[in-house]
Amino acid sequence: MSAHAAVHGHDHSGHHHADLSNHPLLADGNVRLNGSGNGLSMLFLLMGVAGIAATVGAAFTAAGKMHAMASFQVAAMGALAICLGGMFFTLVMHLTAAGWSVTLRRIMEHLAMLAPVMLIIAAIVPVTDLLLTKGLLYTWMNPGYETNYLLGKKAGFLNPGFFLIRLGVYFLAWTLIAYRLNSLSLAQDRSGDKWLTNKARFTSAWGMLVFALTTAFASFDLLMSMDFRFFSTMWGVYYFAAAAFSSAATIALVAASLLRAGKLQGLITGEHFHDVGKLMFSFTVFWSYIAFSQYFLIWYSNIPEETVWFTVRKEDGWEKIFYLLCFGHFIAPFLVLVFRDVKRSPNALILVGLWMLFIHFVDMFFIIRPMVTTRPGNEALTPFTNIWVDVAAVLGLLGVLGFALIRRLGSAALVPIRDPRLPEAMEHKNYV
Amino acid sequence: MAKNRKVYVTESGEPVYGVIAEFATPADVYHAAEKVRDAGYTKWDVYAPFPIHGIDEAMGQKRTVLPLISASAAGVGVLGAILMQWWMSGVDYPIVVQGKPYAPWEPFVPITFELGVLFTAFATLIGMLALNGLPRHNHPLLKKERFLAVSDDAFAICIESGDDKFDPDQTRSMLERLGGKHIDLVEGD
Repeated sequence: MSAHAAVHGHDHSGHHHADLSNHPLLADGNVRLNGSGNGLSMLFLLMGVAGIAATVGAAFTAAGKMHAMASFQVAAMGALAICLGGMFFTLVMHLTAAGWSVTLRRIMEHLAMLAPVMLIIAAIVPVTDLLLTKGLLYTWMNPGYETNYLLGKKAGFLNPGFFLIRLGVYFLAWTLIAYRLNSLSLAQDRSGDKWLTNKARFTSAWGMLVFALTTAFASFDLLMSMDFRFFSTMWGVYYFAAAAFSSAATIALVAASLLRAGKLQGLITGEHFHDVGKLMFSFTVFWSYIAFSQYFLIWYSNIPEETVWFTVRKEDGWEKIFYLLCFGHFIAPFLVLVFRDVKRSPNALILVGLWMLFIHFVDMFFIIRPMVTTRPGNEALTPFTNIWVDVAAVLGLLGVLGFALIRRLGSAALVPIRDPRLPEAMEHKNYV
Repeated sequence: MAKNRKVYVTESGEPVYGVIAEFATPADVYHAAEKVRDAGYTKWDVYAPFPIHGIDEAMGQKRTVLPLISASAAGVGVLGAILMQWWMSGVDYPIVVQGKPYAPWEPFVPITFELGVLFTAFATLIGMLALNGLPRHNHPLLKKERFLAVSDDAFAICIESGDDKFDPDQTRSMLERLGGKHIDLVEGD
């Protein structure tokens, strides 16, 4: 490493940061998958193919096209949120120059890299709806509403050309942010150049702004616009909260699984899980706070275009999902994660994380699926009619996500092995 | 615990608070604290101008019960707020506001949250003060001129005479063995 210090002209410090190249914890067996996740990734791929096949097949059964499209979108938007949360955490760790999370950051980077892929998957249904099914799920695409007064007022934003351009912008922005942060990190693995950390930090400064705007607008386009009458200025934050919530759970799940597989021993400890647990806890509270704020203001002000969205979600069986979210998305994880010992235990966090992912998809289900049951002619449907399609779609896209994530994890070291803050992460300790 | 505890007094009849020893560095006081802990002392403290990382473990400190106090207060605040509002707007004086139902849960939430936070904050602050024996006007250690340096650059351990294992001679010689300097008897109670 000292040879590197001599070669790199911009290393002014005189002495290089701690040389970890021969550290026993950073041996290949501890920081590389070496193909040990291949079996599981194949299982995920099988689950993905089976789930997606079942969802597509459902379009031709009694469930129908609209149900299949909605279920697919429940899964796709849920999975996209997980990936976007990974991008958010990567950005925020660079921006705050966080030391503790360095051993977890590769997982976040990989999730971020999958965001553009998930966007393409999440764009399949709206683009199909635009070109072929003509507004079955995304009502503003339906020619039958062309003369609608409210839609006329929003047509400057909600029109096919601009919609497709925006999808393209999100794809480019997310690709740029994720690719740049990931490639800087991988380049540092090879060169050990500590100044790449500063470049990542600079990228994160503008990246965070771009991320915030694109995530908010993507949530308007891909979720809120399904019912074009509805609008909520809280919507972008709502989807962001879902992203951070589900992603914190996923990071805990992946880290705990890697630990159980015998990897990252001594690199991710109870101290790191304690802090990931704090993130899970805080985004449980954050989601609850903004979800309630959105609901509460709409409830109070009583404006029909807004209340109709919640009215249909508080009757005909949807009220069960509403109260399930109150309990399962807030009260239960709050009361469990408030305990210090839960946050510090990888095995406990696996259970809590699985629950959080489940309730995250229930949240997407609550947002999207009433579009099917409230459609004229579908009055006989309950939230639970043909629920297997939703289960198949969610398992399918989780399979795709799991497969892609394991393949990505195997493609590089599991931690940024030459990050200048790696020693800080390895020594990390909570003193309270 | 309940065995006959000796009350130590100085030659002039002053009660003995304890024995204090100074240490040169945070590392010294840290390692001395480990030895005092292992010797079985329970009523003693480490004094330093800043928090020393890991000193809790070195002293063998148990986790505080403060979270339980806070959580109990939070529960009282939350339940109290819900009961209060439900009774006021649902039972005692039902009144129609904006055509909403008499006792809807939605407007209860902000007040329930606020009262929960308020009770928790008060209980945490008061509980912390009570557990620390604060506020108090004076402390026997403050009479020692040298002790005042622990808010600047000195590190000290004081073993109190109320400790079951306290013995004026043995405790002093143990602190000497641990590398304590300026070992002194502290008077007061």
